[in-house]
Amino acid sequence: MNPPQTPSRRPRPIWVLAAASVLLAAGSWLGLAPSQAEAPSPATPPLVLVPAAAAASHAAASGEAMAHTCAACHGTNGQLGDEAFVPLAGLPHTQFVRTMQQFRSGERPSTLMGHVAQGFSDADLLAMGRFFEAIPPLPPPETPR
Amino acid sequence: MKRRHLLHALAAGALATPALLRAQTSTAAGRVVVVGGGVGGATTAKYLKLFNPALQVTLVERSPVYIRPYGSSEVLNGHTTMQALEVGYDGLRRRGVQVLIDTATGVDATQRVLRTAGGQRLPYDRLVVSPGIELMYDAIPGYSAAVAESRVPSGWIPGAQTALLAQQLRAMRPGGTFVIAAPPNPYRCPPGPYERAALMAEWFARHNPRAKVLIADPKGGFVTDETMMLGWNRLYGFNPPEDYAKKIATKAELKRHADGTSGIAWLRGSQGGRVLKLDAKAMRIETEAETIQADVINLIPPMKAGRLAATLGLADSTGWCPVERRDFASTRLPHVHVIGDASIADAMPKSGFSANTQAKVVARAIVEALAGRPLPEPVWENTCYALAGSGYGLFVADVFRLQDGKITRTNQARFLPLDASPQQIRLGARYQQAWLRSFTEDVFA
Repeated sequence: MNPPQTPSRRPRPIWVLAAASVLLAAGSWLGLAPSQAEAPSPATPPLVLVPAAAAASHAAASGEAMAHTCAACHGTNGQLGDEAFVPLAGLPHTQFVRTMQQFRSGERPSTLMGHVAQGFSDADLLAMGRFFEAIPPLPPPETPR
Repeated sequence: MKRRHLLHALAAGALATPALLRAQTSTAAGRVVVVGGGVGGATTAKYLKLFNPALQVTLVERSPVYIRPYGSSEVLNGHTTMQALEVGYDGLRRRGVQVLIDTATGVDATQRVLRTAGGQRLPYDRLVVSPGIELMYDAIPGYSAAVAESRVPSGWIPGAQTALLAQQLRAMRPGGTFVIAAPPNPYRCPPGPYERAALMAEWFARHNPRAKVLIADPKGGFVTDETMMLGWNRLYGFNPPEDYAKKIATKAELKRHADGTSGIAWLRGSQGGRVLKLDAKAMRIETEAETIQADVINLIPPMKAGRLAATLGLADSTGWCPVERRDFASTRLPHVHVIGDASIADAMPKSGFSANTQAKVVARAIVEALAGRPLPEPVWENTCYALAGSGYGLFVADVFRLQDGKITRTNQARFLPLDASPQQIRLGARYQQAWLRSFTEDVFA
């Protein structure tokens, strides 16, 4: 097994993506192009990204920078072994974004993730989701507990 | 995967990478010296190596073992042990950090060299200082470090004082009074004194049922106050003051307890809760309102940046360290960054979680700056879990961004809702325990 490492790609493309998303969100753009969001399975509604109310009097941070704020609970780079929180590494970005949107709207109950989600726009969530998706998850536990 | 397997695998992975070992001897990528092996310093060292394994990273820390402050009040109620608070630096060593057990004594900012008590001269491209706090015992007449170590512990930097306080509380006479004197703002771990009060009220209810906890407080409120007082009301017979009762009652039902039955009393600033004087021999503490005869006193004095900050000339007249917010660069010394409790960070509380996300922002900023790239846009977070009882978790959770040159909170809701379900409350307590482990791993492993 390799030690967890930051993916080797440079952060710049993520900034560009995030910045572009913010610009698009500011215009009439309403959803992520299906080609970008993976072909949705019949059971999975397409990922719809709308500008969050809280979005952005601040400049865009990189997906990686935002993702590292999750690590204190969800593990360095989202890689978490045997703990009570959801490991984020390897999570499909559509699932990450949708779950966080549901936490933010209150549709999905939480302890504190709903509050944390308020601090991130849809573009932020997408950038973080893409970061985590690219990281290999840790192997599952060897023995069930 | 079992935890120790994970750690072994991490170690094996790191050691099996010769390039990483070779990189340590090269200084082409840059040399960063980090002083202070608490949460801020350890996270910085780890993430510098994650972001650029070719960097030469040296961590200077005076103690070979770190005693974690977060969760240390749980020693007092026997929920954990002093040994369980100990964390070593082998995880950082396995990541290629050079750990030097030594004490920093001075800095030559022009030559960019850090001097140590052990006679080392460590050259750096960037210096990161994470000095933590110093407790100002002398700010309270009758109090001193010697008194704190022998009779009236603060236990706010965990260690022998924590163990002493635990011992005193266990030996307290039946029906005795435990006084917690809370500090003025700003201080490390804002919900901490109130969580400590709750944990001891819970312990007393089982082991010393007529004992009381009295909080003497110079402040009129504290972070998480409404949710904490609701928990005290449900668990320990506490009647919140009228202004709080009104606010809480809009969302949750408060029990009305008979006077004199509460396990916790809160003497707030407006009622004269500020401590004026300690008589350690008589175990009496004088507040603006009254002189309290106590059986055990936990006096948490005012704080300022750790001594190292003053030694290196990084603190200003407030006692804390002014920094540029974007990269926590000291405004007093070039090529030096100050993070954690010691830094002036606007809306961010002085907490381990804050120090952890500040460290990551600084590590990334240093890597980018040394590579000649522009500073990235920062983002920070803080989550403080606190317990109103061992099965009653609450919290404050914030996301921060740089806005108009200040670190600003960007989320609206912050606290456990007053109308939270019993399941949410229980989960909060479970997550608090899980966080102690996942956080330690993110910082030190």
